[in-house]
Amino acid sequence: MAAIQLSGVTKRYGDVAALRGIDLTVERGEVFGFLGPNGAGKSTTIDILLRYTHPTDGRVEVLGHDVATDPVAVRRETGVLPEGFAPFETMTGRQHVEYAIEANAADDDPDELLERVDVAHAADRLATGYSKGMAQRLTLATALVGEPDLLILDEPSTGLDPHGVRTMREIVREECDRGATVFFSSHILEQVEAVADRVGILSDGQLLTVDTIDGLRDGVGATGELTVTLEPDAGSLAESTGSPGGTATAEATGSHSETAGSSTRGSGQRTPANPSQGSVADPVAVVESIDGVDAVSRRSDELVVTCRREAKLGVLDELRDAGLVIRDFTTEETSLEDLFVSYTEGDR
Amino acid sequence: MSWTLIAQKEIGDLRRNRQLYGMAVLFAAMFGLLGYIHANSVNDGFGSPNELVMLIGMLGTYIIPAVALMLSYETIVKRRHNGQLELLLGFPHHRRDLVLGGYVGRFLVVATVIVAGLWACGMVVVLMGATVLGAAYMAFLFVSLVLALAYTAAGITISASVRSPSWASVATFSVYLMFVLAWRIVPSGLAYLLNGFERPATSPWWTEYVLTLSPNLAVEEIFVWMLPESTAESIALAGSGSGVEFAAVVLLAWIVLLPLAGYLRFDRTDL
Repeated sequence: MAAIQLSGVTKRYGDVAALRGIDLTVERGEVFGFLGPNGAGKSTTIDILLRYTHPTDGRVEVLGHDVATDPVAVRRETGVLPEGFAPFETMTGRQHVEYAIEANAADDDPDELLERVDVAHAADRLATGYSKGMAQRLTLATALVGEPDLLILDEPSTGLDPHGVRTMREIVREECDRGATVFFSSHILEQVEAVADRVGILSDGQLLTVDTIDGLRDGVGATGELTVTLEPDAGSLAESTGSPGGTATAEATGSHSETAGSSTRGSGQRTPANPSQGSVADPVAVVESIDGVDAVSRRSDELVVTCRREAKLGVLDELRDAGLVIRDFTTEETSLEDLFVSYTEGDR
Repeated sequence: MSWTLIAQKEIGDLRRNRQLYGMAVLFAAMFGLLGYIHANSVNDGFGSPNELVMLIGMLGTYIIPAVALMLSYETIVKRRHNGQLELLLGFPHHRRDLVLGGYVGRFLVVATVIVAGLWACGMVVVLMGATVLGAAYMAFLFVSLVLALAYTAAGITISASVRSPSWASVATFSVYLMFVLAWRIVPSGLAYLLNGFERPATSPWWTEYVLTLSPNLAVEEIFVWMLPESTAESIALAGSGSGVEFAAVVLLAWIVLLPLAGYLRFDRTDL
């Protein structure tokens, strides 16, 4: 039995189609990130899961219960952090948690839950006076009441400071370790990447893909970029550019996700791989022939290689074997941002 | 039972935001003042004990529907608008629980306010040495509560049926104008319309029935039926004339069918 099962779910508002046929299965025990740009239909989907909104068509099952006919059973086993909620105006933080405990017929300790989400210091203040981030934490606490089998979190990091985001992430992991399924939506990519086992990308009411983060990367194709800085004298004769894949990628810009320059320094004893040629090999030619390399381009001392992740080490090895001296290298993976853009802009 | 938790929360909300106490004090002051005026005039030798229910009845006709509508029309629509409903429905509640719990909880608050008012009035009259006719007074309390229940039902129905709080206030105000202030002229107005914009020679047979459709008049019909005949005559209260059974059916429809319709509409719409 899946945690969440959507079959052919559509939602139309008059002429506007908010969801056009969503089929999605979320397995028990996984952390599922629901990703998509603003207005893609993420909140509509979550509202349908909770029967806040009725689908125009399709079938929705949560934890084996038909949401349309048995919403209370779903809500009993699910902890919810909705989007755009307001706390009850007459209740303190602690009273909120106490209400949730009573409604769920649970026996949690309110103070323990408030401690866990870090709002214990404001437990006896009216929740309407809370900041957005504190209200978000408080509602996470009420969602955790009764150890739910499923947590549905709609844009959980809204209004949270970095510390709050980390707390949220830790709680998601803890809940997952306990055996709960976590389904959360976000438009912030790093957060999805940090905790999700699988990701579904929604755009314009359609589910474009469902995969693991790694799977998504692979799916987009050549994924890594390796920039190698060579000793200036090495191969200075060959100032060429080769690109068997058809397109040479531009030089890596922005942040380098990995830098391991110093470790390779000093290891460059010049040992010509092909002494019969009498000169140093053309690095572009060396790299081009390696399996998994899509493109190579050269700019003075720098060699920019677009290749699969597993080919990177091979590139470095081959260059050294060819007698070239590597001074430094950086490697960068395709960011989720690029993936996201490539999926949602209809390149594929 | 999940709806009882909601009802408790409704009562708790109205206590915590002081509306319950504020309204109870206001009602006690208003009805207490009428009790004082009545007891004074009885002590001065004017008026009879029968006149007490007439006096408080004139006030009750207007302010009981007002307080019942006021305390109920926001119950659901306000939370729907501000997002509390998303939070509330994240807990194991059915939308039915929200309507029923809101209805019961709000009615209990309205009932408390009315009891406080009538208790204060009775106390003032008794303490000033005048008599309170027990049977008539209890009958008045009973019909006041029925009246309050009917208008609480109307408020809850409006609250469950519309999406925006401003529409809810417009609808609530319209209900008050129509059924509390204007209904007595509705049957003759309707007869005038149906007769081709001319005043009919005799009132049509349905006049009394249309008249009884307003809870105020249905309750009056029942009140007259409950009162000793002498009391009813002495305070010149006639009722709507439709018969007590029809009045009871009308009130039952307001109290049961209206909120049911409101719930069904609420359940079928998106938050």
